[in-house]
Amino acid sequence: MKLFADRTIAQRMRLLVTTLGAAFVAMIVAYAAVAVLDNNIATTKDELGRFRSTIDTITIETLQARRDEKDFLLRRDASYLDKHAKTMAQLKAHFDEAEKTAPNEELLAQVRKARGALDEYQKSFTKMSTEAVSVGLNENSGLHGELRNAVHEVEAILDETSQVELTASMLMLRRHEKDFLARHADKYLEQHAAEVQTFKKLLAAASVSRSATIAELMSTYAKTFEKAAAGVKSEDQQIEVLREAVHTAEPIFDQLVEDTNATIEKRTATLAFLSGLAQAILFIVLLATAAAVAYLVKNTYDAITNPLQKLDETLGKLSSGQHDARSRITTNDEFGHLSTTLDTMLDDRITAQLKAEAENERLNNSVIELLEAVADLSQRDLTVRAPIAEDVTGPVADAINLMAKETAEVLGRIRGISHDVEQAALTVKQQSDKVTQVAGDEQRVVADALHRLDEAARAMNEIANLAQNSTNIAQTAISATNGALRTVEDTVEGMSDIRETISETEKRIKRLGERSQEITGIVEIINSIAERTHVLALNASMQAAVAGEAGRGFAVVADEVQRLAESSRNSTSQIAALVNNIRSETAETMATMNRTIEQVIAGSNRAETAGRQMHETMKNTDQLVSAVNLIAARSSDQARLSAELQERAKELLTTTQTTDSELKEQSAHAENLLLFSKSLLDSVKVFKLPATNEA
Amino acid sequence: MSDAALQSPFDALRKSFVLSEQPQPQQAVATTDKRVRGHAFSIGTFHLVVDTVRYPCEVYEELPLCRLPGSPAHLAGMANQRGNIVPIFDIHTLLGYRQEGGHDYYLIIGSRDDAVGFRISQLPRRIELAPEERITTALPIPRLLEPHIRQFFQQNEQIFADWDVQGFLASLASEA
Repeated sequence: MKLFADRTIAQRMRLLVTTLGAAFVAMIVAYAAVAVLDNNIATTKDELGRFRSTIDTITIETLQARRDEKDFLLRRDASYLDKHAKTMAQLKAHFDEAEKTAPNEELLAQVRKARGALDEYQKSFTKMSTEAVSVGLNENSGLHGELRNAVHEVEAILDETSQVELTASMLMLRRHEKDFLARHADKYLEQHAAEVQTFKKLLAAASVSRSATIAELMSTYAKTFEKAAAGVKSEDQQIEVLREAVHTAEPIFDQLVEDTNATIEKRTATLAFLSGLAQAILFIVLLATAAAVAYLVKNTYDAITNPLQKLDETLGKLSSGQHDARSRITTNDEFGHLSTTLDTMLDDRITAQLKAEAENERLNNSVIELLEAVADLSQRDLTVRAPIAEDVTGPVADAINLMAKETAEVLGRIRGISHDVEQAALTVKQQSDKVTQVAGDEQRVVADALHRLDEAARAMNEIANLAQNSTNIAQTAISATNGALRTVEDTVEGMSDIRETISETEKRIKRLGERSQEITGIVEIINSIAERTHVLALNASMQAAVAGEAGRGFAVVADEVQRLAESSRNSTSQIAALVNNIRSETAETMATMNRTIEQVIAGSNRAETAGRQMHETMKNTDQLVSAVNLIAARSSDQARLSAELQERAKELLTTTQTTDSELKEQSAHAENLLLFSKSLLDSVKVFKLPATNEA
Repeated sequence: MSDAALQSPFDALRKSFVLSEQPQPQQAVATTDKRVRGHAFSIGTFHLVVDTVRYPCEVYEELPLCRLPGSPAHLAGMANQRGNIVPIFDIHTLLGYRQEGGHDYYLIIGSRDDAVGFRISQLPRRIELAPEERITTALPIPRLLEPHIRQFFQQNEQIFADWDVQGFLASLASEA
């Protein structure tokens, strides 16, 4: 768009802010207009609603007035007249309100027309009700009451006269009267008039004492009936007029309701359209504002981010080594100026940098060559010479070459002398090692001999000690064996005594078993006696029970005897159990005794065998003691000889150790000399020397 | 049995074993405080209480019996009790119980001609049962015995049945 093509970033931002402000103001205005319109629509809807509600109320109250009218005509009750009047008053008030709230002139005209119809209806109803009241709402009021009074007087006189024909004629008159009042038909009037004539004829023909009075009353009755009939007819006419008024008013009311509904629907649709239109306008304003703001934001964003991205890419390429990278932004804003300045500055910097790099490259090469030569010299290679360049490093290389040459010559001479010294030291060292080795072998032999002599002497002493201990142990064994032999002999004698004692005990236990059996027999006798006593006591108790109160004392004695017998039975049972236990335990004891006797006999035999073996052991032990004593004496002699040999070997070892230490000292000196010569030679060897004529 | 006239052997064998109603003792305690007194012997899982206040009873440890040919198994035989012929019934066989224990005792109820005996396995013991020890729980007892148990008692975790001996024997005689 041409509008934003040549503008700076600041101008674009100002334009964006201005546009945002204008859009905000436009939205506020549009929203206020919609709000005012909505408020008006709501007010109009409210007024329409009130008018419609009033019309509905008028319709309902009209129906209520018709209902009151029907109730009055049906029940002929004066209270419905009051209700009708009250309903009509409310209707008028609502018509006043409808005229005030009518939404247009057409509906106002309709309301007024309906009100006129209602006034006509009310007039007709008032006339009809007035006529009905004058005719009489029931039999006792109005013309109905008068008619009834007149006929009752006639009937009373006729009852007194007992004139059948007149009474029948009177009844016919009442029948026609009732028919007319019920059905309102003219034929009943004609029949009634004819019957009046008939009654008059019959009255004239009959000889009745009060015929003049009857004739006068009948005349009054007839006139009253004629007036009532005229009132009924007038009422019927007023009812017809009322119906006519109703029929006239009903289409007007229906039309009013219909027009009201149509008008409200039309106005509601119009208001809805206006509300939708306002909202659409508001939406369009919002949409246009948002589109303009979005376009401005996008344009400004692109005007900032695109040059920034290009600058960022250019700087990235420069940092990665592409020295020919340039931004080349051609816009007429701040970023265009910045790009031009940056590109010019980069061109100058790159030219100067290339020139300095070439100079540095040349100097670096010379220094590197010089450093390589010095590095070879530092590796002790004195054959290396530094290249002599034409720059500032040339004199330095010349001085280094001279120093390397002189050093190589000195080191060559030192290496020759060191080689001679090394040969001489090596010869001395070999000789010294041989002598030291011989002396070491001799020392080891002597030490080994001394060690063996020491072990032999210690073994001999141990043998002598063991032999002495064996002698002592053998003496102890001999004495212990003597004691054991005596103990065994005593044991054998004790076994014999035990066997005799056990035999005697066995006999006594057998006798105890026999006594237990005798006790068992006696216990059985006692048990039998106790049982019989129990039975006797039980029988005595039964006899006492039969005797009643007289036998109570005897029953007590019998029970006591029974309890004693029961106790005796229990005791004898316990005794029998105990005796049985004694018998079984006695039998077990006897079996145990027999086993014990057998074990005693076996033990006695083993003790005698042990005694004999102990005699043999004593003899063998004596011989063993003699042999051990001999070993002990020989071992002592051998130990003394070993001690003497050990002393001699120690002296020899001392001498050998002295010789060995002197030889080791000499060998160490020779080894030092050899090491020094090697060290000197190694120091010189580390230098790589140029080739000489001697080598 | 009358002392004046001896019975013939046939009459003795045909004699009834139904007990006659015994006169109540003049000072019978059982009627005053409603306690049940008597002697009880074990049968099955309970004890039968014989009213020894009303009927004279006697226990024998040994009693020679004469078995009658063709008689039912529950009739153990006829015994001679001091010159009186007494029928002896095996109470366990009669009521369908298995006899436990090896000893036999003989309980003679009644006296003279109105005596009947039962072979029992344990000696009776005197018992006195209070009304508060009475229980109403129905217990399984033999059909023959059931109509002649007046009430049950529980004392020291043992069940005692108040036995109408006279009714039982009358019922037994009617079935014989």
